[in-house]
Amino acid sequence: MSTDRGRIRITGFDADRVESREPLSDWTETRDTGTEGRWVRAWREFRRNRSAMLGLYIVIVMSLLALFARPITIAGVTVQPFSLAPYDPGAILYAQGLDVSAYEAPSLAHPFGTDGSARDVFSRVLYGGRFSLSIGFIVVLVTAAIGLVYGAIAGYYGGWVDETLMRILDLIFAFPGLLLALIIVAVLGKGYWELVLAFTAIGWAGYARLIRGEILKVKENEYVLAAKALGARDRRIIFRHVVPNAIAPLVVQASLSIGTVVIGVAALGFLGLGLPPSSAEWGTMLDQTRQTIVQGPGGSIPWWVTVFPGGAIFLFVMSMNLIGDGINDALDAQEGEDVARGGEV
Amino acid sequence: MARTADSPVLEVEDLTKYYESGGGLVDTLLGRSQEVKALDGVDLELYPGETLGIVGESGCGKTTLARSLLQLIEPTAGTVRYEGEDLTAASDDRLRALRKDIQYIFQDPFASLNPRLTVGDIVGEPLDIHDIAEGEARAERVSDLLETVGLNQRHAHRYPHEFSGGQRQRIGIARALAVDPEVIVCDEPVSALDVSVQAQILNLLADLQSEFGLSYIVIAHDLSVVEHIADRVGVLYLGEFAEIGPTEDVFQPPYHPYAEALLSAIPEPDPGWEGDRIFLSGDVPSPLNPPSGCRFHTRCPKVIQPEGTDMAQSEWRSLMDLTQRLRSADSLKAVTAVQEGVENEDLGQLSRSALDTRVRAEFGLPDPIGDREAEEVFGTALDHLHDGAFEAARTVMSDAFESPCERTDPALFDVGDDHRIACLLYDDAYPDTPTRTG
Ligand code: SF4
Repeated sequence: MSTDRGRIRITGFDADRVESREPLSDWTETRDTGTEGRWVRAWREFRRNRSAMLGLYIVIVMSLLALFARPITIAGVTVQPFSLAPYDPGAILYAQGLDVSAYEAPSLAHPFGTDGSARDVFSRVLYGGRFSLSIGFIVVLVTAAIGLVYGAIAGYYGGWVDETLMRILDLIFAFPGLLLALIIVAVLGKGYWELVLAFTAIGWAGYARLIRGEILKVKENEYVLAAKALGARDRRIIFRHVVPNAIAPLVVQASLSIGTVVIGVAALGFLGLGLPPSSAEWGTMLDQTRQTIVQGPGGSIPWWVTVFPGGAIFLFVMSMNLIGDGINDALDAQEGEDVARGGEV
Repeated sequence: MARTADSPVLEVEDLTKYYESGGGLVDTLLGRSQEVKALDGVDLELYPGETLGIVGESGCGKTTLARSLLQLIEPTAGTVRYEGEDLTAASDDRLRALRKDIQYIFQDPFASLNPRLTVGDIVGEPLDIHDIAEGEARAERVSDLLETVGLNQRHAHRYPHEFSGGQRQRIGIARALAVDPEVIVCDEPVSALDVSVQAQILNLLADLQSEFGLSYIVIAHDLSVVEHIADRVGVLYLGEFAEIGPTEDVFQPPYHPYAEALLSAIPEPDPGWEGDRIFLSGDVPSPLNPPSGCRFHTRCPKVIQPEGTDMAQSEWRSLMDLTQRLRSADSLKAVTAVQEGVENEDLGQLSRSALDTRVRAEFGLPDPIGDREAEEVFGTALDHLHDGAFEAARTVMSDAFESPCERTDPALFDVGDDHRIACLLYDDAYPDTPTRTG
């Protein structure tokens, strides 16, 4: 083969320089800063957002308070010895010989007062975070994971696979979410994991639809074809090339719907279908004291038994929403139609 | 090129890809869906160490060809044999393994690199997929590859968006090289790049070829790119080869009329170059309904005149254009020149002579047409048009002016050593057509 062929000679363009491949002679880096990933960039952006940071601080504080409210023992070993809550949330104080009656107004000894069974509301609110928050996070993690895989498969394979999977989704969407959760709890009985299951069963559908739409867009990119040309398997293509490029809206959606789940849990609690009645879960606490909103003993209204658990729910959900919005801005995620339905429970 | 007596590494036979088009469910049920003939029976061979250039306008099936070679698109029919093994029949696992030998370089270096992966991961991915190297060895191989394509190993930790187009294309090349392939299909490897960078990339490809003994199939819409890099060239038109042969032969007469037109569009470096550009009439026809006979006949400047006709080639071309336009359209608007500044005029009201002028203006026909018989036919057709008898005009023209090119689909005729042209002009059945003088 002639050695001349293939080399282009254009005057003004020094081909020999390229032949000796002088390293990067005429190349300039487009940016000279160190490399940083997209999440690092997003985090920097997020930190500049004051309301989102406020939300983040509140959630962190609430989580820590819930965590350190009472000691945690696992199999007889105390793994978390701290006890921020002054009293056991379930303890009926006068039964322990303390000079406390039901519906005591907030005082130094009981900053949030006591409830109808003379339990310390402050301790209960702190401790109650454990239920609401953990259910919120667990449900969102599980639903997002299920939705991600389901939507990814539907979107990536398309065709009849997609058709079938999406019709199943339509079925789930046809049920009013909270009602379905209600039915599940009614059938399975009250309890922590029953609640998780009830919210998971309906929550994943929104994520699945959202991620499917994203993946339909992303899979058209040439780098997906490039991976195929390299001989990558479908699993690798989906989880290394498609999903990472489609996941931003899912993260936004997940952060926004933690609040929604917490409200849903509280709502079931308020309807008496959440946890057992004496639990310190925020919604259940509201339910236990709901008569008092109208008329307390002696004509006075013991506002503290409703305001503090209600306030805790409000504060947490609002903070989560601030965080979600912050993440959304930071990732510049596009909110599609599906997002609106994503977190419905 | 001194081709050895080697057997081809890649042998493509009758490769065909039809797409369903407009396929709503109802259309399919009613049998109304149409097929886009993106690729229609393409044969080619690629020999070890050679570069086969494939050129054509956009929409001629180049990318479909490139992708169905690698089974990235499933071809409708035909075989692709790599060292004797048919890729179209290979199992998924076998195909994945074979991808180590046949690689692909994409046109758009911006879209073909995953923005979420570092350059090191992009180039290292094929190593992971095929378990070629791990850990230290992988890192070493990645920096080797980056050096090979003229990048620095420092770049391994950066993201694609930090690089220029040319640099990104180098990353794409490094990725393709990672599996140590035998054949690389380059789909317009430089068309997205600046001209100066184009030369760098093409030179890099040439260097890599001699260094690693690669065989290339280079797709391009630009003959000048192919002229420099290819040993052989195939000219694709509407999913079929119009001409294929060694580069020097394709760039010299005898030409396929289409290749000749493409070649005439390449500017010469000589500043005194005046240009003899051949302009093709009409648009590229839709592959949905490709023209009968020779697919180029709707635009071919040399379209053959029927036996017994002898008129100036340009007039003949114009008459063909008019006939084709009449066939595809059904209003006077389609066959008359547009009058500046006049909108919504009622063409039916035009006088016979005004209509005459306007039609001649649209198709560049002289008055009268040099050939007496042709002038008469034209007159008759115009009478019909004036009477609003569109159908009749169509028939008159179609009957009188029918080129053999419309009826016969030319095979690839041998015109020289390994040089083949799909044009009836080179068929012995039309030994001395008037076109050669026209
Ligand atoms: S066969 Fe006829 S129409 Fe086709 S290229 Fe040859 S001369 Fe032109």
